[in-house]
Amino acid sequence: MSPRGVTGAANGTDQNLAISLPFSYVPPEMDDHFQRGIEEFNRQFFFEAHDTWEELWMETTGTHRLFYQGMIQTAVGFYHLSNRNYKGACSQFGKALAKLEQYLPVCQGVDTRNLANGVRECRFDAELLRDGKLTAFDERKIPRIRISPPENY
Amino acid sequence: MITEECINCGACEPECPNTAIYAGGVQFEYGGQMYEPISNDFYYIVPEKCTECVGHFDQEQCAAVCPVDCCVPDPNRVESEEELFERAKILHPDREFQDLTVATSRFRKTA
Repeated sequence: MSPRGVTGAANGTDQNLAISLPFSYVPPEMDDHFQRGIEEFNRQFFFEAHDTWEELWMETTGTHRLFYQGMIQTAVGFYHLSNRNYKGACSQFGKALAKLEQYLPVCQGVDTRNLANGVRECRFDAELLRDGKLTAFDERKIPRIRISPPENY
Repeated sequence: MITEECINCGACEPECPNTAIYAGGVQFEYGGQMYEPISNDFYYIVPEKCTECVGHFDQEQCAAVCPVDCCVPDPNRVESEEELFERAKILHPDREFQDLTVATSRFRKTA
């Protein structure tokens, strides 16, 4: 697995991240910070994504607090996976899924069903890697966070 | 204790009322002396300085701010409220502690 997330973490920030908005539709209620974290996640800058969402999580007290934490733990799971910390990845994916599954199928514009399915598949592989039953992780399995069209709300 | 899920975000360190949390690789202070770090890879809690926030808060402050839920009770070191409160008094000899309440001990919380 290439260390893209690790490289991003080492650099601290990536100034290019704020340039483009890859979404064809951005829900009006989506927080700018949250959106930036999604961009970072989809570019596999997992440490940065966690960092961005952490600020949001810390200041959130309402019903979305647990959702943001689930997103953070998803990012951290992939960060651990990229560092071959398979035990840590398995644990974080488990914690993330327990939270994301409370916000199906869409939350804050995020297609949580698709994300949870992707995390579940990666957790399965992480468990195999942890137990020595798999030798390499197929990066193509890393899910991209999709924004759900408004008609699905 | 802090598990290997820690990503070294450092959110927990300033929250500890006992200065029991240190970054990986950093020596810790105890009783006026410096000791070798318990972990070189991620943040760690010095058990001899941890009171699980008894005497200070109604929940462990490190756990409250940890986004990845990696500050957890050490299953190999289960301590009573009394033991933890005594430690708090020793760690803070200049402070006058009141009797424990729901606001200063997680043990007083009702289910």
